[in-house]
Amino acid sequence: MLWNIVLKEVREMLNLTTVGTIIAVTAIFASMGGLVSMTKGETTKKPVIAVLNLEPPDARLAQTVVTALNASCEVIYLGADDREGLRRLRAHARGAALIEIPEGFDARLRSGRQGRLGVTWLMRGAGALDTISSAVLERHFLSVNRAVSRELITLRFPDAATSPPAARATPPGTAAPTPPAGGAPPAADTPNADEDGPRDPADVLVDPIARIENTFFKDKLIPMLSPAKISQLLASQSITVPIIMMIILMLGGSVVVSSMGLEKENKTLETLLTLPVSRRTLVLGKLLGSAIVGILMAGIFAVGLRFYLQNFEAPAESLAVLGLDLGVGDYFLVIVSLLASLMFGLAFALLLGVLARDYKSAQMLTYAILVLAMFPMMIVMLKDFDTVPTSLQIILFIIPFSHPMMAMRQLALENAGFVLWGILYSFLAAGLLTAAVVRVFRAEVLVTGILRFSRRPPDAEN
Amino acid sequence: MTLLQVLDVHKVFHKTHAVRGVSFEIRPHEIFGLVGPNGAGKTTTLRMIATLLRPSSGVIRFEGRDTAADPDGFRPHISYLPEDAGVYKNLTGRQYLDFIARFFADREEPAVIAARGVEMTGLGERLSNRVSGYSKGMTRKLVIARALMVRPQLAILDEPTSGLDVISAMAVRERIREATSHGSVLLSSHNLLEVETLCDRVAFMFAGAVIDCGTPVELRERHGKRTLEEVFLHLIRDGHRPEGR
Repeated sequence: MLWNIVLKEVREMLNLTTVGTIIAVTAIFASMGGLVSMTKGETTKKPVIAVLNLEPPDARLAQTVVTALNASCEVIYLGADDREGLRRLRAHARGAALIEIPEGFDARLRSGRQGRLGVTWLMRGAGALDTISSAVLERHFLSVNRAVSRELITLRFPDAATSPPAARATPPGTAAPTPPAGGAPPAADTPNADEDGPRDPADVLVDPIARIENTFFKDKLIPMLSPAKISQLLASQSITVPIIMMIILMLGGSVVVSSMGLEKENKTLETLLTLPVSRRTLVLGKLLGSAIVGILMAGIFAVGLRFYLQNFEAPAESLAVLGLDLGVGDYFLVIVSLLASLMFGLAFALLLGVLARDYKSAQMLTYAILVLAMFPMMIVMLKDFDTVPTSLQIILFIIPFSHPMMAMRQLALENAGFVLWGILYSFLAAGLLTAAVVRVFRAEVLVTGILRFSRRPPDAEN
Repeated sequence: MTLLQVLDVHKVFHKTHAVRGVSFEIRPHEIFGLVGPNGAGKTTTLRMIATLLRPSSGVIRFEGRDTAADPDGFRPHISYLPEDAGVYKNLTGRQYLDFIARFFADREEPAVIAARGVEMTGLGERLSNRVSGYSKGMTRKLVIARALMVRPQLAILDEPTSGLDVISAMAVRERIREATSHGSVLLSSHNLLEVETLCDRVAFMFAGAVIDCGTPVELRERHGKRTLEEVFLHLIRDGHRPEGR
């Protein structure tokens, strides 16, 4: 008796839809796992850098910087030609930054002022994974700082290197230490002073290096900002927009699939199909109705999400300063891209709806849309289109949902051509899929639930 | 004069040969009954006529034109009532009738069509309530009114009175009779008494084929029986099975 009930339950619940759902969810987690392992791999690799050393070979502190960088990074260029350094860096797929040790670096430090390193970052994308090498390099700068600090202390307090730790501590209230014999004397004009104001010599010992950072974001030079800061400023384009796009697609798609499920569950589909209305009108009516409901629902959701996320985002003015803000025309293209993608999504959902037996199975089928929307969302959040492998680029381009997610960032980088091609492709894909849906609505699969690809002559069964 | 011709129609579903060479015709302003046991192929035949299914072979002609060649052109002339027809549960009865009436706006003012539907249902004020609160009988009255209010040239009714009480069923039969003043009715029913009193001609289906066809009087006389029920039992039990079954 027990097994009778158990078998019935298993048969009821373990069907193609539930198995498909499990596979879909597994695919999401597997792809997420893949991306996480990609991230892990990136963090363990040495950042690739070029070092521009404009100091003479006997400049000890400059050499300390070079040695520290060599230990923690893959230095592909070490010399005095900035163009050559930048060229090699650009040619390397993982080239992260050109680090310049300027002339007078050693002397500045020896005179009790912070030494300055010029850092020109190469930022290839604004995704979280795109800035990993720069984040790793940021961490290595701490070691460089520490090495120079240690060297400075040795230079100023030669005894400190050999004294026990207790003896190294400087008593509170002691005056600035006397420069060591071997060290360069402090600058005569403003010792211990910087352009930013006077600095305590002890601060310089602890934090001897200041960085002057500029970033090449793709081909755009953004002065005085690191990739991490730029990435933070672009958070709205990298995170908020893909999430909102995915919600719109999910809600719109879910409305369509559910509508088909309800038509079947409520036994209204047969009546609808025999009314004097063309299949094309029927399909378009369903798509438009669902689009309106989906956009309305997503709009309400997006307002709430904006309130939550605006605390993490940079104000629009900051983007304008960087030259990464969007104009009215750009926003228009983003909306058109979204509409094209939404059209495709709804047509896809309607096609899935044909397979739905009832409302419950329709809900399960929305996971298929979830997978298709989540995949590009996660990729776009982590990587830029330009920085993913070609195979992934092809997949991203084929999935029309990717295009509105990528549109804002591409437009910010004045790559309107890419967005226009995406729009064209999405409309084409949506049109073809809608035509396919109309064909399916003309076929009897909608009534019978049986897919047939060839007509069997009646005599074959006799 | 023929309104609808069904000529040697077959329907094969994967491994099931559901309809085997069915042929009959429906004349203008007549009520044609299709009767037979469960699984005889009645509903499949009605669905093919209603353009929901395409015949695997054979042809269905409406006023001489192949319905499969131009289903969009044929649908405005018909009204199909499936056996288990449902209604959009979020609409009120009146809203549902208005919704359907708007599809026939090129024929008649939708408000006039809907008003006729309202009167046909006999549901009165209950039409202002959401359909989700209707009983099975009320829903059935609503969908029958929906099917007949548009005055189709051919009403295709699958078990129109199933689930209705005697009084409601009698009212529905009256509506069906009235419908012949505007067009023809093709109905399928298990209630042979209803078929006998309502239909001008009847086709018996069994195992996917028509095994006999005629007026109730003709059928009774041909088989020497007093009622259509007896004719039916005689046909089924005495081996009038189609070839191959």
